Amino acid sequence: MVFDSYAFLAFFALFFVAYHLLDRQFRAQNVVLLIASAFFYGWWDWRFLGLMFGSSSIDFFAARAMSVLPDGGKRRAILFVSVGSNLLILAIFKYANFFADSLATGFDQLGIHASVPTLNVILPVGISFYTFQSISYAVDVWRREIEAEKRIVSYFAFVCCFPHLVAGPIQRASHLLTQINRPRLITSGNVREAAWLLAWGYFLKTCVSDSVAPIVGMAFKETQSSGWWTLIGTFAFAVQIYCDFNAYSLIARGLGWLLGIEFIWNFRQPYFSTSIQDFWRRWHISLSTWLRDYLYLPLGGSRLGSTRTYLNLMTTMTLGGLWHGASWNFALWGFLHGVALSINRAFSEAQPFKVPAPAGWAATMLVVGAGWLLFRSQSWAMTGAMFSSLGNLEWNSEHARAAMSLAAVVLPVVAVEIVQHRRGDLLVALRLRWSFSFATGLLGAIIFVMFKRFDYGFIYFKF
Amino acid sequence: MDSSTSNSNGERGASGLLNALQLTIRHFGAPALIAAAILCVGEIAYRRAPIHPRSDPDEVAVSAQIYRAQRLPDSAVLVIGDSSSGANVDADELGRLLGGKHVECLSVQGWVGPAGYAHMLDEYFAKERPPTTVILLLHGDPLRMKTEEFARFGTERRVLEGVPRPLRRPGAGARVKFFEDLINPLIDLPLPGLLGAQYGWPDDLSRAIKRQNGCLPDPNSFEAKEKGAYEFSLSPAVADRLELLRSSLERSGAASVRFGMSPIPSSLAGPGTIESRDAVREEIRTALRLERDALLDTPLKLPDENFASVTHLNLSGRSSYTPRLFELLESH
Repeated sequence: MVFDSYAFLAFFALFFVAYHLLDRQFRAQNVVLLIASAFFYGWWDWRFLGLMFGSSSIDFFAARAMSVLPDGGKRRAILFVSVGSNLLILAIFKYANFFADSLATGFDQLGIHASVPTLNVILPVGISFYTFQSISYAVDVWRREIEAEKRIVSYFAFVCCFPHLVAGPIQRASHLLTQINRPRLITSGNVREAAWLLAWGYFLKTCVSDSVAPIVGMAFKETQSSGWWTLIGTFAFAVQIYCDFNAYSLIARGLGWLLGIEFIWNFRQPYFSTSIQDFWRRWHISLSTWLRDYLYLPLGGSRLGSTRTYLNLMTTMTLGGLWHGASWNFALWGFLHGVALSINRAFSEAQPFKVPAPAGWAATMLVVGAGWLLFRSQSWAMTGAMFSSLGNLEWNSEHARAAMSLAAVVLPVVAVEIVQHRRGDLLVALRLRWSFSFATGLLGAIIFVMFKRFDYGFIYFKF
Repeated sequence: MDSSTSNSNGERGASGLLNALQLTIRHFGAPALIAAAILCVGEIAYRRAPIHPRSDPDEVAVSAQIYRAQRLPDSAVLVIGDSSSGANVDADELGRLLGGKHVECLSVQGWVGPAGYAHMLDEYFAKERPPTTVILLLHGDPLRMKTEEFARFGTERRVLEGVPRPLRRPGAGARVKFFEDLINPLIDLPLPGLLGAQYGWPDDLSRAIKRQNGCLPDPNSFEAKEKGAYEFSLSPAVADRLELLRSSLERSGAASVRFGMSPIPSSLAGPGTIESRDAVREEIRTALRLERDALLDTPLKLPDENFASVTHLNLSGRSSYTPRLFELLESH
């Protein structure tokens, strides 16, 4: 079930009533939340439920075992089983065919025609999100940063909590599980925030992201020979992916508030970043902090000298790229960001001169833009054609039309973000008084007009 | 922050729900009313003066084909039928295979129905035309349409009488009115979905239809959801309308008429599918009073990977289907 569907709106209305009818008992609310989340997830394919609950059960019992064992080999072995099982599930369902195909292609390049077996599996929705959440839980218990959860229903409700289940934000147990395990409040302020987040989130998805998607589709072609189409398409994709994913995160946070649950902010205006390090503090925050805490720091972080730090950055970001999908373009995208972060770090340490903020912003956007081109390309041929096309910058009326459409769609978002940025407040709209209702009402009417007109799924569902 | 709260440790569940609803109504109520008021204005405006949804791909295709039917140059071969005939045939390629003959396609959406196909034929033959071979291609899906569906879709009436299609969902008029009159002129959005990615803007789609002599490859890809269940049938509503198509074909004075059924994806074919297809084909042939040798023995099924949807072939499917159609025409 997706947020931008009539089925979801009906589902949420019913769930909302059932959930708040159990106002006295938060544990009973957890049961309702779990059943609703299973229904929400099973809407795609009920068979995936077994996988999700199976892997979550392993982590739950592993954490229970770790909580009673003293530090040592046994405890470490249990962690290995827990993390290993999650990685194995990811390997089978997400990466097995990718590596098999890559192996076969590699053999082909060497002139060896080998038949590499592939698996007949489909990628379960949201698998990358809930496995990462489970891994962080097991590691946190192993590090003794949190207590192991005693109630399996609470744990399942934490993993499966439907607003963030299939596309994040990736929640930490220290943040979400603690909320699952206590009575939850919905306050007037939080419901007001929810009204804004839902209106703005749905606007970003149905009116902005989905509207620019056809322009992206027109630009990203293996036969692309126009540099302007490449530039416009890359800009359009930067808008599309940000508005799409940010919309999902905002809607998740808004829905969370209606249940009395707070989800973290996943985006903080990433396109205002003045360095690539700054970008990763603002873009997909739940993933970047996850990668930092569970991959970069365990690899040694910046504690083992400059060379090792750069290597760690590049390894972390390349694996972070692969997290998005089983394809080399994602790995290359991650690697590019790893290289850029390393250069950024080296430059910050050396500080040969102070970079003016506009120059830092321009350099950052250049890297981010080049990264999006790699990220969106569906084949090496497409990547090659689009980079090569940059040599041909002949402007025509089609470019003007696409650019004007894009500008008209993006301008309202830019205007709102500038105000948010200047005031340093992502919820600046809540400071409006009488005009708040008018603004959200107008957004609601526009969303209604545009709803399902462009039927594109959320991009991050694929990951 | 407001101190009004709904506490899970509150006294009663019902009061908790009431509190939650109260807070929700307080903060969502006014925006919802404002949105509803805006939409009501749009709905009233639409009902007073209904408009064609100009950016809707179906509307674009229907308008383009009606326009073309009235203005086309003379063609040696005219392909008519539901959208499968437009998606599955490459008119240029067929013309080339037929030795340089001019081939045009006047296909319209399946839910226009036989009366609509007849109308296209009438529009084309309203002028004096030289001898023309008419190829009628029909898919099984639109043949099942019921009377109430013809009324609900309103596409038949759209083609025959030129009036906008009826909009039954609440707020649908406001959606069309605001999008066509306010949002689209301001933002100039491409077509939705893969059609937009493939063809760009509505006028680009019209141009693509014209450029390809009325044919249009479907950019989607087919994914089988169920297997082996397809059964052809002819609904009474469609059967009734075949009479209009018959008289139109007779009036046209076409040099010859050939009729075939469009293929379905292999995964949908099961035991009995071919028998049902042949029975329906025979019913249609009889209703149209066509000779037995007018039938084109088109394939029942083609591999799933050749399809864009249940009804349409994709570009590669079209590339292999067109020469096959040519062979069938030649083998006559």
